[in-house]
Amino acid sequence: MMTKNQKFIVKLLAYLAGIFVLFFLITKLTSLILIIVLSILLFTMLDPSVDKLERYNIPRSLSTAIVILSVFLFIGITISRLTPIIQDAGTTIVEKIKTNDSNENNIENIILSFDKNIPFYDLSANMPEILEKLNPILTSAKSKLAKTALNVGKSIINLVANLFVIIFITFFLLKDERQLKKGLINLIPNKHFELSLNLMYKIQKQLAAYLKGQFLAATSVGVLSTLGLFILNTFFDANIPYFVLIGILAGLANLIPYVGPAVGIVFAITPVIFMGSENLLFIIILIIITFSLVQMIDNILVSPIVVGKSVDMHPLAVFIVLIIGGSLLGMAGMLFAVPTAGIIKVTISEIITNASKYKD
Amino acid sequence: MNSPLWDNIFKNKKSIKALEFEAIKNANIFDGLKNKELKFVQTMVYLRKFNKGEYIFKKSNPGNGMYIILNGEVQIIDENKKDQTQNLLATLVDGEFFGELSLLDESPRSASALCSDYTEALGFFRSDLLDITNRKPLIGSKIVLNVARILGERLRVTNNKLYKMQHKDK
Repeated sequence: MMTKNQKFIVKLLAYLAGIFVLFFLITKLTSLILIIVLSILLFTMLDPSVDKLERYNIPRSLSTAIVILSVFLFIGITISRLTPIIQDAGTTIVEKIKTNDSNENNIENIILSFDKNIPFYDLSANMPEILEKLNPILTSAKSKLAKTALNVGKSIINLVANLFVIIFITFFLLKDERQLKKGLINLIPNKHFELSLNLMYKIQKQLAAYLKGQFLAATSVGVLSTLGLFILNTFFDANIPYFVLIGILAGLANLIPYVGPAVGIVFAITPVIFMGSENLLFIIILIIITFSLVQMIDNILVSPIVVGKSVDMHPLAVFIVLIIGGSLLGMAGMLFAVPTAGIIKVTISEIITNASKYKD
Repeated sequence: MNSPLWDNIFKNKKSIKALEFEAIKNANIFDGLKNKELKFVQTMVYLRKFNKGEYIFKKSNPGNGMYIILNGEVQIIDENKKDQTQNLLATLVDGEFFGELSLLDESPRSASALCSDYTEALGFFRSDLLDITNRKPLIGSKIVLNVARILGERLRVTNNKLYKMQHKDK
């Protein structure tokens, strides 16, 4: 017979071994895990639409096929519309990076516009000195940016390649939801059967609400950003290129809490710097104001309504989760770290709340 | 494929499916449902097997749904933990069902269900009823109406008993 301490040590060792195996599997099977997580997220988002179609007496298989085909159509149209814009933007930016004098031109532009707007400082008097100091910094920043852009591009290509696998898995998750759920529930012993069933239902419901909220918030940020940049182009002659693409990227980046809004601003400012403009500083300030306004509208009006409080996480927890996601899977990891942590948080909190009720 | 082993496996599976369908059809909670609708309900229930002496649920556990007995015997017991007493309320057998009140809310179970024999039962839960209401509102409303009717009948019986008790006292 083991003593209490021995039992505790065995339990502790078992937990540690479990965590070790989990980390080993995560690092070895990252792409597979990402595919499964994305399929579950997509399934949770699409399930209500399939249910709605079923209400009109359309069989489950046909409802699933209709929804999946709509997703394919949406992705296809989006890719076909965005690819030329992305290609064009990429080529232009690469061309600008290749041009040696672009750094100096841009810094000169910023300084001249600074002097024009703020008359108390005469920065242009120290132009050569400033250029000498800033040039190497900007060059290294540009090369880093080019590398990051290449990595993001690679992640996107990987994601598109995996998209077919994800949609294939999602199709069967949607079509055979009941059989899969029954099969999973059959494995659970009688003692935990009702608790597990209740948990599955509550988690799915909360997750669906959370994802729907995130999707709506991202869409609203995307639309508002595009609208804001369009207004800047129309009324302030800002000449910001690819503003629709920037708006979509800002919306997507908004899925990453805290970091996302800043990334949105970077997406908007970068092409403006590369393109060069006479009122560069003024345009940059306008962009920052626009994105801050979009964030204010999102934080005050949109998010509190559409994103539930159920998956609220402490900012520190969000940062840790983002770092883990980023180190495991890069940009894609950061994008899906918070929803994944949301699933884990809802699961744990539901287990804690419900398990005590099922005690003898 | 003609071996007796395969024949037995498929026959057994078939007979369980047929048994499940019959049990659902005979449970008055599914009264008024067409065969096609009953088959849909069949995809939403869970077959569970319990050993003799095993609890299906215990008193004060959160109520999640009802069970229909396919075969076996279940005792509904009111257990008092304080003085360790048990009061047998009912013994249910094949075709009978219990726990249907939990289809409406998560209030705690008012009694325990203990298997006094090896029992196979079909579980039908609130989450599945909500799922049905969402996917097939017509079937969902028929089931909810049946639950309301059963509860109404019980309320009438309880009222009658109360009335008789009050008049006995006088």
